[in-house]
Amino acid sequence: MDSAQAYGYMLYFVSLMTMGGIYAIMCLGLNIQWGFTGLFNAGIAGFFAIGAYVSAILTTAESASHLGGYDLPIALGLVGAMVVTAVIAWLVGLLCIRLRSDYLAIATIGIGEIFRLILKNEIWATNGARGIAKIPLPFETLSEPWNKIGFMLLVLAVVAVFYFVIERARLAPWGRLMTGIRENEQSARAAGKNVERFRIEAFVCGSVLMGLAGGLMAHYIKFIGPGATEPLTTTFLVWVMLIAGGSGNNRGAVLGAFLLWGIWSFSEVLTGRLPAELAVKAAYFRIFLIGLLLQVVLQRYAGGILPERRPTTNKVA
Amino acid sequence: MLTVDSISKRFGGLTAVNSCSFTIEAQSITGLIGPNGAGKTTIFNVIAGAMKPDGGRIQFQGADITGRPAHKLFHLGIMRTFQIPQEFGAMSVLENLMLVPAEQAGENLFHALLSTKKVSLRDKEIRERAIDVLEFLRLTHVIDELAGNLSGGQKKLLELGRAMMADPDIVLLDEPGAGVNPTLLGDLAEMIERLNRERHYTFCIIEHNMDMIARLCDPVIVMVEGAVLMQGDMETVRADPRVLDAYLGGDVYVAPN
Repeated sequence: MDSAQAYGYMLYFVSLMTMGGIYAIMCLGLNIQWGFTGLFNAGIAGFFAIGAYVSAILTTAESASHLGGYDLPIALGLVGAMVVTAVIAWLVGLLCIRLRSDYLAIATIGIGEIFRLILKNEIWATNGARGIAKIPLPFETLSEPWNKIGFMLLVLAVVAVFYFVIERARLAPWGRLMTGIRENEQSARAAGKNVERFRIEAFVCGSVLMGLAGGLMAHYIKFIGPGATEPLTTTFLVWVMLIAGGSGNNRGAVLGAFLLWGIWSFSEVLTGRLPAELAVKAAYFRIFLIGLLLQVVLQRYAGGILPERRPTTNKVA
Repeated sequence: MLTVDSISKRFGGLTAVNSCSFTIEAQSITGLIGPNGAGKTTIFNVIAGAMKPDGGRIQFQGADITGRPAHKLFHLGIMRTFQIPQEFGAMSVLENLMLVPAEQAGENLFHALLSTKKVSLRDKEIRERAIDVLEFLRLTHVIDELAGNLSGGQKKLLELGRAMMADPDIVLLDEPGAGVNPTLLGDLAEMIERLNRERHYTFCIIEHNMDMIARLCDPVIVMVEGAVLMQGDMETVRADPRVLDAYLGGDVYVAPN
């Protein structure tokens, strides 16, 4: 292996870790919603898209082709992405949090798609199908590969911080209460818990992480257009990651994200080497393979690779 | 303490509760009996806020509580248990109890993340209380077990355990004895008496075990077809031919002694 090849592999690894980290943030968000609280959010793509566009609009240089840009620091862009996602998730929560799990799924699919279509069609704000380009990348002044490594470290640090925060919340009465709502709403109500309020809280917390992931993704690929917010690569993949990794287990959520992204990315490398006429079909075959993999994992490990564990009196799980 | 005034509740064409009225005196242990389908559980659901009535009013400690949501009624001091156990299945038995108490600062996300001392002190307090309750119910050996794995009888005890964690003014017990073994049933009755005497809990108990009702309850309210048939002590209830009629479906000839 010559040094150019090794360098290529190293960059590939950096991109795997960066993308895996961004997915891990979404997975942790979905874990709060589904894993802890039992909220079936099937509109991940919508919150992801909102975060991505907000951060893009806030941080790009002024442009005639879309709203703003406001040329703000990237950190403010990401905070803005989280705040706007929080407000929108709260409004969505007020509207449909009373729906039972499968109905909530249907409602959130619809709402997620509405957001995506609005972002696609409000050309004055988002430049429509052509998307927003020239989104700044953090550490842009550093030379390659240091800018990419820097961004990877930033993403991994964000994952680590949120992992610890969410794990702490899970083990606190807050997490106990959320899981109580998941397990038996009626009983939680009889125990004086304001179920609606806490369901909205969990929905907002999870969606904020999805918005943050969207913002990070926009900065990473430096461009955001409707194609980057397809439900297949956001909603579907994140769900597979969480279920395979272990719903209700934060370590499982993070593991699932890195593992599945690795497989997803690697399968693209493989199918890319097929002859041209097969390659078109192979792109769809990837989706089938991911589904099959999920089946195998769930047959073997019913609760995911790292299933949920409740705290016990001897030790804390 | 609790006044049910002309409560009605319909499900489609079925009138489950039909202008039902009764009063539960403070610190009493009131029995609520009647044949299946008499509307006993429905009236519990209406009192505890799980269902809204179609008509009538409910007063609790002088305040009108008709139609208030269940979680608010809990904070006013009304705790109910369920006929079919409603445990938090995938959570440990200890967690099932620790979830219940009010005023848990750690239920607020920011407190949970920041003010560790306050949260952990309160949690320790709740944990100790939960362990006491489990000892009382003889469930200590399953403390770490997931509640969903318990036997039917153990789940019934856990229902009662949750009520004990709440420290309520009135407890609505829906068939606490169903599926509990006879030895434990005696303890259960004793415990209810103790909670009533020492902690001044008021109880309203739906139960089909007449020995338990006879031992604990005065007065006993008999419900039939959604309304109160009669009310009195167990002797009076037993002596009333209408009660037997209601249980056995009418037209039953009762031989004179």
